[in-house]
Amino acid sequence: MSYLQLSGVEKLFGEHRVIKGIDLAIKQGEFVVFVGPSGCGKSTLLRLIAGLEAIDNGSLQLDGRDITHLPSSKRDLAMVFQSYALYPHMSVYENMSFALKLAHVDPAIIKDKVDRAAKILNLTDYLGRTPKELSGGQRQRVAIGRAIVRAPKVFLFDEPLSNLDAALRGQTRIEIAKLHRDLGATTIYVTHDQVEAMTLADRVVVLRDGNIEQVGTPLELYDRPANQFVAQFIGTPQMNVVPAAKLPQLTTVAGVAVPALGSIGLRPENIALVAPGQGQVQAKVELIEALGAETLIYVGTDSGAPLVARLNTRTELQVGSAVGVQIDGDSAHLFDANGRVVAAGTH
Amino acid sequence: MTQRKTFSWLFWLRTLTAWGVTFLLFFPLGWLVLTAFKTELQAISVPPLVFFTPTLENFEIVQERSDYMLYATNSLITSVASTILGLALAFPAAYAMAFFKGKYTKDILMWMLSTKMMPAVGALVPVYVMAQTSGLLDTRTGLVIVFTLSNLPIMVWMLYSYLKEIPAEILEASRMDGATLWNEFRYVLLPLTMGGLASTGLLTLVLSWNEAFWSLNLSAAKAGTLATLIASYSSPEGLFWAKLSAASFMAIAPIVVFGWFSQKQLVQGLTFGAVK
Repeated sequence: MSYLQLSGVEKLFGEHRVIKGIDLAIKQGEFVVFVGPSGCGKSTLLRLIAGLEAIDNGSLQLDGRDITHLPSSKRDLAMVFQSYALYPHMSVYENMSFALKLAHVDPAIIKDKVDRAAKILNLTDYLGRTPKELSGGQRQRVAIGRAIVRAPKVFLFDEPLSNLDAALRGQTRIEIAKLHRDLGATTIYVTHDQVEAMTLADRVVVLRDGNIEQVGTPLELYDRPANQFVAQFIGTPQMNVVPAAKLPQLTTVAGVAVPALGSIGLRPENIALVAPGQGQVQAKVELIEALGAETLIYVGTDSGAPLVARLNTRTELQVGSAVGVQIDGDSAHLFDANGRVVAAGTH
Repeated sequence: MTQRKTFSWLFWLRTLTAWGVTFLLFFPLGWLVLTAFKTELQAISVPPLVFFTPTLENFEIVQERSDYMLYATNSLITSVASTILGLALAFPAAYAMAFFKGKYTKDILMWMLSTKMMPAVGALVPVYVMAQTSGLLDTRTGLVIVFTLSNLPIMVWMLYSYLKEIPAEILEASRMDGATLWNEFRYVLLPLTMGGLASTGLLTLVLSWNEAFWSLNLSAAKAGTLATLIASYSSPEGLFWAKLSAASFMAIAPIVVFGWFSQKQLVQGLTFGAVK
């Protein structure tokens, strides 16, 4: 039984269809992440759900109620904006209690709820301050606090971490995950960062050009991408995708014969570098990124295909060294000329 | 050392220029105030008199010949009413243009401004005929309507530049929080634009108070504002310098006092956008 149901949702900006008929069912308590490159329509889709943009075609149902044409104020959703969008003239307390005040909740109950949310978010000491007296991370927490105080049906997050620095981003990501675990609230989270998507989501929705490319758990997307776009979007460094013609040594992938116009997809961890002369392909090291726990080695094969290999160890190799490349054909992916998956390797 | 010298030389130059410009701007006004307290003979004496025994006779005569309070009341009512009406019309217009930008928003704004590029006299005949046929000639209602319309472009522009500075996401956040349009206005928009509304209102009040062209042409004895009172003392021969000055002094005194107390908001409003 789906909680939030999108059926054939479309959005037009003039003649241009930016959201092209989205069907999606979200279960209660689920953490769903919309991910995709910029301009894929993920934020627009979130704004359609929020009611901040009008849905041109299709329908939206929440908890058995049609909310397609309901104004935002009546949808019972809370949103955390990228810019936080705190009310600059109100204190933290007023920011967090605004929605309840509008709903004419008893002031004693409001105080209780705000105090509880402030405690969860470590904001108790800051309730009297205005947003401009807070740091970026604190503002972010107020924005989240404003959403959780209301206990809405669905939380919407629009790239909430993109204004934070890297360290704080990682920390806040963990806090959001913890918060979701504690509150069990249905959440839709938009990001362009696939690491956020992978770490937070129960299910990830990959979008491109206003269409859903694939929906699945993070590992499903990683292990069994539906197409070359998803395969390359999920995972860092990107999956190597090499035209079959440049890897003639590989004739079968995951038990399927390689078509002449197809492409072969190789996760960096499935490429092993061996002594020159060994392995299926010969290559030269072009760049080494030593990250400590792992080492990324970029090589160019003799047939001119660039590949990146990921090692969990340090390497003795130098830029310019000749190496052999050992490819695990069973774990590779095979795409046809249109980028669709023909065969997916095992893991 | 040399650098310091140049600096102080420049400093004196700048200070003198500033005082010079201020004096130039203030001189006519100061002279007007002086003249208001002279006799008619002293007012036209050559060389001009700077030191004299002040007299209040001009004020007495002006008050005798014309009812100052009537004109002052007319000025007060027309400027306050047109300011309130103008804000009520301009605010929603500026809101729509700032937050629901369409393809032609910029063009509409330019068109509004362009109406101020034509001299008011260009529209005198049609406006006069309209006022006459609708029975609004020499009524305060007529003046309020005309003042409002003539200030509307500037009010929309000023409010637009204030509203434009408010991130749309803040309004969206309030909608997500359950705010209706009225709540959004009352709790978010109004507190955030209070300064803008105040300076726009103050400026319009001053502009309407000093408006002369339309009040001279559309009003007379009944609805005439202080501008028409002043004008009634000017004659082509320039015979009543002292009384004209006294009338002017009485006409501008209230708005100068008002402007003195609200100068902070006024300056903020006039330089808005320039410093940001």
